[in-house]
Amino acid sequence: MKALIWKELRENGRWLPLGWVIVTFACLMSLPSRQYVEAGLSSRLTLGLALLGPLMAFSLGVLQTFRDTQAAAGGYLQHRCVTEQQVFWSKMIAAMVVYLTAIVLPLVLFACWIEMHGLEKYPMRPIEVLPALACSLLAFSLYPATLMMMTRSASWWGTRWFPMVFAVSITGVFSLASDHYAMKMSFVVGFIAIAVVSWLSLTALSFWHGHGERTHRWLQVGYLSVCSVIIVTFGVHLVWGIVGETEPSPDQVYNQFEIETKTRKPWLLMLQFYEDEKTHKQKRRVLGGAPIDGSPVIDPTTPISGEKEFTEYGFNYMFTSELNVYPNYGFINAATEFERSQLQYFYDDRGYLLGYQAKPKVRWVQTIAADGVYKGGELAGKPFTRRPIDGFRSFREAGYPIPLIDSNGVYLVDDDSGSIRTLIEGPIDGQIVTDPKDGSTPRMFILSQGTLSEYRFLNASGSEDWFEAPPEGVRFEKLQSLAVHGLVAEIVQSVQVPDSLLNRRHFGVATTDTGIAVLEDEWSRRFCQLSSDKPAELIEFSLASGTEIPRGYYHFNLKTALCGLIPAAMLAAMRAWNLVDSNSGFSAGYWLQGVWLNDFQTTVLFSVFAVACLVAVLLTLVIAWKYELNRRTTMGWVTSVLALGLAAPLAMIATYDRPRRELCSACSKARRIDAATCEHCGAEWQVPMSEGIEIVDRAA
Amino acid sequence: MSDTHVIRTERLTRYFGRRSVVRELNFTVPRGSVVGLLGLNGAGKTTTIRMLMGFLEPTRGTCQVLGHDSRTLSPETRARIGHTVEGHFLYPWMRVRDCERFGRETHPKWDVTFFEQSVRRFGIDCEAKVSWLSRGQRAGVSLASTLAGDPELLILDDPALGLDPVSRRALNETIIEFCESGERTVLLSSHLLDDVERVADRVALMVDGRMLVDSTLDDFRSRVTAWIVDSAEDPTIHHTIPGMVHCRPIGSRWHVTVADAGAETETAIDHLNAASVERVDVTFEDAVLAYLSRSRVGHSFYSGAAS
Repeated sequence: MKALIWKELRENGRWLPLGWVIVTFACLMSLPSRQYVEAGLSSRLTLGLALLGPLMAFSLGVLQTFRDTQAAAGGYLQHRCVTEQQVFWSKMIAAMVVYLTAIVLPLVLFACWIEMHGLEKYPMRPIEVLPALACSLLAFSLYPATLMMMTRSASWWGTRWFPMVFAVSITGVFSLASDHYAMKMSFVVGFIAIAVVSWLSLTALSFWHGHGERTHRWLQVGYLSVCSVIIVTFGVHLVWGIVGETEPSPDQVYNQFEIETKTRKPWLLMLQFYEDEKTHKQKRRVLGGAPIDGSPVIDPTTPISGEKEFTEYGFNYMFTSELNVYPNYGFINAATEFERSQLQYFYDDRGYLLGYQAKPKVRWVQTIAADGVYKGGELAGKPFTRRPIDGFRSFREAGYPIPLIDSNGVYLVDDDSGSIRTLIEGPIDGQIVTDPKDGSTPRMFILSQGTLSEYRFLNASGSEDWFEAPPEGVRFEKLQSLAVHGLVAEIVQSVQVPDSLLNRRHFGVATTDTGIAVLEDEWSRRFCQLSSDKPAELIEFSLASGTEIPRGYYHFNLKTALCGLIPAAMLAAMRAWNLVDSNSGFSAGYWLQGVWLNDFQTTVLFSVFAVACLVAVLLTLVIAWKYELNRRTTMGWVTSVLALGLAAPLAMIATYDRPRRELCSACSKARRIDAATCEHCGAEWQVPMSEGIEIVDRAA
Repeated sequence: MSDTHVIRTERLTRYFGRRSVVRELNFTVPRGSVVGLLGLNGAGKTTTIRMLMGFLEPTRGTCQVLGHDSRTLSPETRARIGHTVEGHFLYPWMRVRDCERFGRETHPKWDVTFFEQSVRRFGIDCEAKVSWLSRGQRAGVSLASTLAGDPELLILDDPALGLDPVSRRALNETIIEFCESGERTVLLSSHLLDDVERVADRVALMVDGRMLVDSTLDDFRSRVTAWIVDSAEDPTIHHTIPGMVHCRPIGSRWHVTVADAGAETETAIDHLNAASVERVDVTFEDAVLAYLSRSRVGHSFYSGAAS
């Protein structure tokens, strides 16, 4: 084994300088520009290596297997007193050493360079190479996948390339999302990479010179099934995208909770959203509605009498715990929401806002911490407990500098005095700033240890009428100062939130005539009316018969039908992924979130799914018959259709070799060439006819 | 398997796509013999050897080497087999010393002294890179590596390909020395008939995936007969000659080669409508070529005369 590893290292180690050049190139390309200040080194580096790392792993796989799969070189290697497993593992180990050396060494040197020059020079940290390293480890999964591809006997125009599908997909998915990766996610990706590479290595071993044909076939079946599921899903997505381009977006009808502006009473409205023909902007039309006044049955189709105005998006949704706050922005990221003249700010996930000047040269000049504003060059003061600039969107859009917020309080930076003033003291579990469409000053809801408080912001003269909302479509260019208003936050009302609501991930809040209404989610038919002087009141109702508006798309939609072709295993994976990461980028996954809530669409989806399963079962049976699989294996594949759908027959074609046949000399039927006897008549193969010139002696 | 045979194949068949390259091959190699495996390019010699070594799965049938199924040869069994691949492949980036080290660490019974002596005999510098060596020198290193493992069975795939006469003689002498004890066996695939005649005691002849000859050299020679027939046209067109292996034109005459000629053959020859018929001696080379020519259409690159 040692000699084999040495041989592989000697053979492939010569490619190391090329690897170093490639990775160094990726490092240099990821450096921030000298002309202006920018962050995102981590995501640029990861993206660069996401392209080059898989290429290196693939090339290594081809280089290591191509020669040894040739007759002469293969014979020279394999006739030795070594097992096929030893040959395989020596290749794996050597490839891992060469690959990691090519990646890690330049990355470590790059990290050292960053340590010497950052943060003074650019908003960057040495730790930012970590996501790139984790994704590179994942990209190594292309190496065992390449070994599988090279050692398979399938046709290049057929299924030979199938093993690459999973490795390419998982590397692509994680690398493209890399701008969110900080320490925790890098380690998660690292662990995923170890698991994936281990799984693929064992599967590649089973492909190696047919070693697994006799022992670990299930690994091949499992892996090729996963690849087939991805191929079918990708195919459906491709058609899905084309359909999405051509199919007009249908009008959508929803039932939605809103607050009537004048009376502050909650209503359930039936709204139609449509695309304006002139402006192509999404608009809404109120079709009907009814106040939620304690009646057990609400009819949202009731025509609304008189002129009534409603707060658009009357309920604001807040997370109930800081742990639920999404997203993670990586180690260091641009804080474009936190605008100040001259300086550009970046958030360092150690809890500081770093201010950089761009001219005459890029320089770190200011550090903002939770307890003060400090000079640049050092991370001084008390760090923020989270990214403090998520919130106060309505302030930013009106051109006001935003207050900062973390789990300990809300702060206001006074540019003139260079100090920080605490507007609201924590602890803060959840918060939301309202975005009133009527131009009034935004208010803030804060959840603190089970108490939900509504705050209003007053200027120095105690007035709330200082907020100047921009006209629609206009964004104020010039910053308005909050300091001149001498802004203070004042509690309007505080209510106690029941534990059942606190256990939820998020809920909606709105001010009503009697206090604060808390809504479990926008689809629920009950909400909690909270007030400071009365116990919580749970209002439940049902919709009048015939007014149950299907949520999501209303009419038959081809996109939903296409989703029915996606294998159930992938649908389950998408669902699980959506639960973990609700902002994930599966377009069909987004679509399905609406489909699940709609009886009509769900019926369409399941009908197509059932038809697809039926077709898959038929195909499976035909393939099993053509490939002469035994009854047990056939039944296994038929059962797998439930999870694999149309991918099951594809996986079968990828897994098995179609038996070749020749006419039987005894019964003239086509018989398998790899069987000793004819499956039809039991005849053995006919010994070639004697030509009368054979010379065979007794010893032979 | 009987201990008297180190190689045995039973109905061994291998297809590539729809074409069978080796078909229903029954073949044995007795212990202590040197078997020359002959055949044209594409006859199935290398495919058979690759199946024997376990590099290629048979489509059907079995093959055993040293009593073990070739598909599951253990490292211990492989240690008893010496093998050189076609063209004496060696890693071009290795030095001769590296070849020795690589062999030593992958063979349990490696004889360092033997390797060094053999290499020295070929005049090769141990520090030389394989890519610098001539084809003959590379063959020397390859053979030294194969023999240093002290195998009891040697399977050589066209080892003399491209070698100069001196290297070929050295190769032949090595094989003869290797088998001196009578306990070691050689399966030698080659196109060089005089080399095979010099070192082999048995001949196995493959034509189109079939084994037509599997016999001792003397037996083979004695059972093949030839006549020169003076005839304007191919004498075998209108007459069937039992056991005829091949009939080829030599100027205006025809050379007819027959296997196991008996009374029936003699009668058929006498009845040929020919000006004269003359029995001639058959050399080993003539006999082998007669068999090998059966599957070739033309006799010369100039004349397309069919056989």
